[in-house]
Amino acid sequence: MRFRACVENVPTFCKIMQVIDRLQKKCIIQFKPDVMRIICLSDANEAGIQVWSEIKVSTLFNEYRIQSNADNIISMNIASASLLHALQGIQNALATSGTGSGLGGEEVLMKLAKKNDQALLNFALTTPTRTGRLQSLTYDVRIEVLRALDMTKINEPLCPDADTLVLLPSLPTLRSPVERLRALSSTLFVRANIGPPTKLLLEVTGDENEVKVKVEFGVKYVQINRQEEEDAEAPGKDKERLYSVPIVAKSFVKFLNCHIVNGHVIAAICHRHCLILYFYIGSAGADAGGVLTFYIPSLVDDGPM
Amino acid sequence: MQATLDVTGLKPFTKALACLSKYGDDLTIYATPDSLSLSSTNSSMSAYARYKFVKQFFVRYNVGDKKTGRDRLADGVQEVLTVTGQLLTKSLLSILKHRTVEKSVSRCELSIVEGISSDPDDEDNDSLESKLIVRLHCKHGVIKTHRLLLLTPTSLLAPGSPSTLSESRLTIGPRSVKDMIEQFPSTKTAKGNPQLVWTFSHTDVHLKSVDSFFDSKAGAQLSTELTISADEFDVYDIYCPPITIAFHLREFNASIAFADSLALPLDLRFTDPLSPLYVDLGDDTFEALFVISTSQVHGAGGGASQSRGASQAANGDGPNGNGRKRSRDEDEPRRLANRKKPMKVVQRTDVPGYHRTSEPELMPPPSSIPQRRSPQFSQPHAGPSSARREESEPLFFPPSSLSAPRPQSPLFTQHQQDPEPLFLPGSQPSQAIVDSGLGIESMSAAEFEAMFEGDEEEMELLGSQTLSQKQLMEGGESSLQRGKEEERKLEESETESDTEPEDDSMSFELLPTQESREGDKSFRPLFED
Repeated sequence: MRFRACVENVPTFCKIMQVIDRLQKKCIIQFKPDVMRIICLSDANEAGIQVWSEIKVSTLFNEYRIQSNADNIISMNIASASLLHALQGIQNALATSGTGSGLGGEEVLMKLAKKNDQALLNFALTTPTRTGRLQSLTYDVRIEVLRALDMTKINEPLCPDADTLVLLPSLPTLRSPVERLRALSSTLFVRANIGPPTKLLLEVTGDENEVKVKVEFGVKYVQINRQEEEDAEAPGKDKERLYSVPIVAKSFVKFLNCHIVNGHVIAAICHRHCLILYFYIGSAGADAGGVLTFYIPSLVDDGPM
Repeated sequence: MQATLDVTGLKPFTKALACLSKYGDDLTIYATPDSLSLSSTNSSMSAYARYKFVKQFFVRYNVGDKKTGRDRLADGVQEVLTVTGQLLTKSLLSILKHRTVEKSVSRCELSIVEGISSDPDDEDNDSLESKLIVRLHCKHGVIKTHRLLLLTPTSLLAPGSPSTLSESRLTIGPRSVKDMIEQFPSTKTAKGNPQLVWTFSHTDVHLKSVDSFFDSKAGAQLSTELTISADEFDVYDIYCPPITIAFHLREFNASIAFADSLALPLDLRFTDPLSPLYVDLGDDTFEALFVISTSQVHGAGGGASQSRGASQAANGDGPNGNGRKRSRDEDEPRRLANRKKPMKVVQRTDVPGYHRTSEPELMPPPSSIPQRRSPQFSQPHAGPSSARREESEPLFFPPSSLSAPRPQSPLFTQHQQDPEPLFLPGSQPSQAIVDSGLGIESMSAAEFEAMFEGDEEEMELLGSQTLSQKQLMEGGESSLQRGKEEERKLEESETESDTEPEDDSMSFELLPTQESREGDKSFRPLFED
């Protein structure tokens, strides 16, 4: 089992970990020959939120070398905060040394290592200090290597094609209404139609049915590809129909914690099944720094939608 | 004492207070005619900070005001004019650090009024308590006056100076050292007190975080190391490289923040891995000294100095740690005397209290326990616990022993001088016993037991049915009480094996308070059919 790479894009890696750290203390990172996967399973948080994300190796690393007996895949359990701290430290060091962006310049070497029988992810770099002298920094992040067998038990949730896809308003905008809604009830209904006009509704009903609050956002419908459009044109699809999913309000709040990182979010609603949130770090589209996929399962519905 | 600060002096003064507040809660003021010292020690006595502002730092400064003569009267025959006082750092800091203060204050007067004044006309001087008066002269002629109560300092602690023979000296700019420490992410986020291990070798300085997970603590998941050229230091004079020291950062960071705010370089001095680290900084008008205890490093390679440290650790962690104490308690004799006195008093009153609380007793805990040790002090008494030492070694030992608590206020001291027993010894009758009117106070142990035996017989005679009207008539009030008491005792006898007369008298002491409860026992229906 060998693994070694240069972290080229420290700021993005750092941002990704910032998001993950907000969500869960521990996460699984899986290094594959072409992608890095970050997985947060629902069992570690009560809200049932999961993260399944794939980040292309080329967006973060170069000189990426990986070798293992399990199809050259290395999976590990890692404390998100520790990895984040290491990356922040590196970012900080690169910033003081004057290279500013942290892109390129000094080499940040990341490798799998073992010290005192403890597996760890080692980050090493050499940067000039403020006075121009060289300093060398190493961060050892403790990891737990997961066997391939363990990984087979971890499966991505299955879900049907999304009924509607909308571009969420900016997360800071959403935060305050959602906080207020959460105070009223633990269940949040997320509804959206196809449109136009496309609207997103966040709705709660008080625990004793005494109050019903609806927050409506005008949003943009996202067309993924031609195929989708053709499907949408199909007569069976009602453009006005609201597709709904009841979720644990807390999990949406947790997701909104990601507002600290700039990004765009596309929400996919699978009617009465799940809410999937695609968080594009930086800008949406092909040049996104990375995509984090949040999966929030639907609550078992106990009434008319 | 009067001291006046102008705008230029106020800023470093406030910053110094902010730094002191990170070291400890209590601020000790020690003013002499030449300088004003402010010091603070943390709760585990592992870090100490002292700022010494010389006369020139202030616009106006004097101690024991000779001009007015009024204060002279107050000072009486005191020959050396010193003023001491203690208060919470926060209370002074919150006044000076206030937002509006920084903007609008043009002058700040600090004065200490000692509480032994006999002049009833002076409104500042009319109490027995010492006060620190802070008078802020703001814009538009606004004058704000704050009066802060001063306590008598419990002890004036002062660190010893390191032996200069094997001393290593370093000088570094605040910015550089700040950059170095910032590389350790745990220092920013952790709620605890992170520790860094510094290894000084010939050409390099190696820093390592101690929250290393190799000690297999579940919490620590990240270990950081930094190697930096020795050239980063302006002065790099290591006595016998390589040398490894480790210390906690909370207080050190406070010192760095202060140095950084005033752009003053830090002078670091240390000898070996077990002696404290000394940090000096200052300019013409003030000097600051910070002493931070270092701790033993586990596992980390430190070469010869490490093993030397280990052997010293064995010595230092002996039953009383005498060797270290002596070197650190170098102090002015006058101060020593100051410190010795309360210690002695504390010890004397403390012993019975301690023994009492450790005895298994029928008595409920007293409502106020001034003599009970605080856990902080009781721990070392049980023997030097090495685990605690590793974390933070007390730098400053009170002269006689570690275990004695510090008196907190003059009130407390008075209490110790005239100790009112919390627990009456068994041989003395308590007021409750006398009040019970049973004549127990005059009984011998045999008589006392006989009294109960008699009751027992009576109980048997009467069977288990309790306290009929007849018995009330016959036995009278006191017999009823005794009967009840005995009944209670019988109930308790299963659990209480200790039936010595002393304890019986103790249990009788409770009688008045429990009477009403006992009375409730007789069953009365709430509603009649």
